[in-house]
Amino acid sequence: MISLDFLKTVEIFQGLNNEQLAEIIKCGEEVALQDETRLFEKGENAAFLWIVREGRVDLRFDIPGLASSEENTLSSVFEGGAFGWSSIVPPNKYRLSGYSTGGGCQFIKIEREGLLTLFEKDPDIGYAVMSNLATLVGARFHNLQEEAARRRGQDIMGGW
Amino acid sequence: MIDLDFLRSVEVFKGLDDGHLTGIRDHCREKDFRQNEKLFSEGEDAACLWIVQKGQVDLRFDLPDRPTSTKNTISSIFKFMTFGWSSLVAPNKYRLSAYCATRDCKVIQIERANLIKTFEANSQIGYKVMSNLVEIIGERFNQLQDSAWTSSDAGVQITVHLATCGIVAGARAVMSALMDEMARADRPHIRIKSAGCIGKCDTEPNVTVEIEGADPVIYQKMNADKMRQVFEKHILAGEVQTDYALA
Repeated sequence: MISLDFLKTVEIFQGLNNEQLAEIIKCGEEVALQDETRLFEKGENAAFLWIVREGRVDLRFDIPGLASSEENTLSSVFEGGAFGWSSIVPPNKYRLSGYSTGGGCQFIKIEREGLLTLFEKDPDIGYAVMSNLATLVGARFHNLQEEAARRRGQDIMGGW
Repeated sequence: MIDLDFLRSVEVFKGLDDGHLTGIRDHCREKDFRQNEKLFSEGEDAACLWIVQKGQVDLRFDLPDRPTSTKNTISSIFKFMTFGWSSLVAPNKYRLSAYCATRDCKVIQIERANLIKTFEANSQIGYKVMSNLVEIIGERFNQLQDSAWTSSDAGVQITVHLATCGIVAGARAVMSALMDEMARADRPHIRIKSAGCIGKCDTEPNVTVEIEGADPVIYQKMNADKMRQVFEKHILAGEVQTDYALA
């Protein structure tokens, strides 16, 4: 059974009340996975939004024909963090592969269709979750943009 | 008065019905700018969401004591596109400065406070707009990741394929070595570009060298040392390094 208290701590569910969180719980299930289990593959239909309950997930860029390894990890998500947000954003394909790491990993996976139906039925939930998601994705975008600006600034200051 | 037909085509308002759009239109303010005029500055409180109605707006980083230029442009925004979305995302600060990049441009400005009020009064509008916004940010994230870091001028062009697969395989070290060589050689006519994947992930990092009048050469499995050698022998001396070229 997914804990309501835990869901209250999840970043993308901030601002939802107990009744709204209870509706989210109906769309989700808890899964326990061994270390180095692949949760989903890059390019796959993104059918689930995932939350880290315990342990962590590594998001990796797998190179075809080569075994996955930690060296391919582009980012990691820890307890209370959400990943697989491509599930609720068109074209709904995972951009990276997800691997459980750190031993004793537990995740909550929330079915996309159920979640989107819930958002349509109760747009207060949809608005809150999408606003939180925009903040999360926006922060990642800004980090990347700052890196691009920093590099470009170095080029210009270097005189070419 | 802004035409509803125009608002229907605005990316961030996709899926809203005419009733919703009419409510939003009440908060829209049209503004005109001339070339190189600044719309807002990096670091300012992001009080408004903006939409391009006509012309082009460049989002640029500013450098101290240097005039703005297209070299500082991180992305360009065209008709129907939205910018200043930091207004709807905490901590609500503009992260780049916005400049009119065409002879003139016409933009729509909507105050954040009015938008939030509209969203809170009708969460269906809020849900749709925020869903569109997440999609837009996601797309721009992917584009920026695939095609950032571009540099100036023409003649010779070196493209480092900096898609995610390239970065994982060490393309950043290759780009870094190339930058060092460029700085040392003082050849401002050489154009450095980054681009996405060429579909050969197993030979990354890949680098494409294009010299006017010659066929492009794709180098495979590059590293910093190979990049320095290609720069010195191929770019500066004209000798293709066949050992590293993609067959």
